[in-house]
Amino acid sequence: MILRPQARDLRLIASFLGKIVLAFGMTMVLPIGVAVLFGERVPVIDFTVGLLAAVCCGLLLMSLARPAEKAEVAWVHGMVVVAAAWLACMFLGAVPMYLSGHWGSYLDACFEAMSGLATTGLVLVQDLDHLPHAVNFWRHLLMFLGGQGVIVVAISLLVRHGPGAFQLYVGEARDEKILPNVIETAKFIWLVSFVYFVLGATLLSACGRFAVGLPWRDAAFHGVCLFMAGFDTGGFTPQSQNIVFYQSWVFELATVVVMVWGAINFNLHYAIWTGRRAELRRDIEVRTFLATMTLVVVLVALGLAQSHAYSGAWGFVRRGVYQAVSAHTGTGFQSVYAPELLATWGPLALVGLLLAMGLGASACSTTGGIKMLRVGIIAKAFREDVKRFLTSESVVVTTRLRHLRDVFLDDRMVRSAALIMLAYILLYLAGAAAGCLFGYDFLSALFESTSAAGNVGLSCGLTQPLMPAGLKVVYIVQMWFGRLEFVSVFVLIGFLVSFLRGK
Amino acid sequence: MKRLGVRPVATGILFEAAFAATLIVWTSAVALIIFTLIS
Repeated sequence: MILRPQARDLRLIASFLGKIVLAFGMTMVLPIGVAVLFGERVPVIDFTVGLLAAVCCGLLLMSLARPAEKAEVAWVHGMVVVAAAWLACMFLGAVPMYLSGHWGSYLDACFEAMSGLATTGLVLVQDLDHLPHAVNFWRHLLMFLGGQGVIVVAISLLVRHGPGAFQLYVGEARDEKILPNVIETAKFIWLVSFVYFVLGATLLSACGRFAVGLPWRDAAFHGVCLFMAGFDTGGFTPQSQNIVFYQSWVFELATVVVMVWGAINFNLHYAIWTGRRAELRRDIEVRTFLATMTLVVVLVALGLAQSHAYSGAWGFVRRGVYQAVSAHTGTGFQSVYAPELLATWGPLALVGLLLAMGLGASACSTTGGIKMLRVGIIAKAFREDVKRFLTSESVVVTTRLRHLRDVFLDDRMVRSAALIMLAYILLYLAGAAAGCLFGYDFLSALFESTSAAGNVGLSCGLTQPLMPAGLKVVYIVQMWFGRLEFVSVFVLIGFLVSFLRGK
Repeated sequence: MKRLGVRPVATGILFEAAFAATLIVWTSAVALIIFTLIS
């Protein structure tokens, strides 16, 4: 028998949701600052409206919840809050974007907001090259907030002293704590992000100034925006031509370094920063990443050679390797125009990119997709099974893997990794089926679907303002599921069902 | 949180940048070998 949630459950959920929405709304102060800096008046009004909307919603939810403040927080509450919070942030984050007039509809603005928050990078903005700096900055800031995690933002700002922080943290697809305390973990995630923000934004700004020749002010703006999109493996860029705009291999190299920083597990950052540098060489995620990266590059290179996309070695390596790294880290920066990708790269190279996008990079990083830890666990389990057949039946075969410490492979671990992997594959295929339903060919539909669900953002040209509204909704749902790794979204659905049908 | 010194953090960052550089060199070498073999 399904039990219907009680009023105190709803009040507790509303309480946390209110705090998260309030914390998210407070971040709109930053684009207001950018608008003032660049002398843009209209965006100040748009973001003030957005800020007020978020504050009103947050306060309203918190006021509904006051009597339940001291109730015990169960896993279901944490999961429901996280899944609902991401939707609430999408709706509120889209308000100033829609008001700017650069999105065809509120749905398009919601698509872009979810694409930013989930660090996907698929875009529906119109006339991006004339977008006000404040709105452009907001698109990238959404990636920075979403990459670290909306919940991590809220824990850091408002939820810190209450119970339930751990349930919220886990609900946001972060099952690895770096430090024993969730607050300390959130602090460390911000520390890493800010240290790299200073370094990465300076590096990209300097490259923008000296390698590309942008004026200082533009170089700094592009450097900050691209760092937020690159480190958080998002893939938005401040102008419409993506990385092609910069026409500089030095700049591309700098973005690759930033993407790789972002693709590393925060736990591994901590290990390396505290002197355990050998972990980078020993960790199963890094080893799996290197192996799959090599496989992807081989597939892409063979595909490019087969399709004769580039005649010279330099163009071949520069475009091929860049796109492979961008896809595998889940970033989605493009050094090739979207239509060119489909027209000239050939199916084998696209399959290479598909594989990279589907697999993703490290767990507990800013990337999406299946993740290297799960791929590594399944590969180890497969090897263990083969080994078992090759040895005598009396021999007990055990497998160890190194992920920050030595761990023995057990069935529960393999089952959990296999289930999530299966769920991702089904999500990729479901999106592809939806694309086919709307009349697109299977390879393009699968490419775009994997890009959305794996939170990558590479596009072969299918995502554009004129695409069917139904497909936009499908991709929004895919990005949401993909970023939260299913569990909290399914718990939210289960919670709603029990609310309607429970006794 | 364990105290993070400036020197270990700086070394760690350089180490991670070196990892990124190694990844670029390795993948470029693989792509270049395939290009040379095929063309």
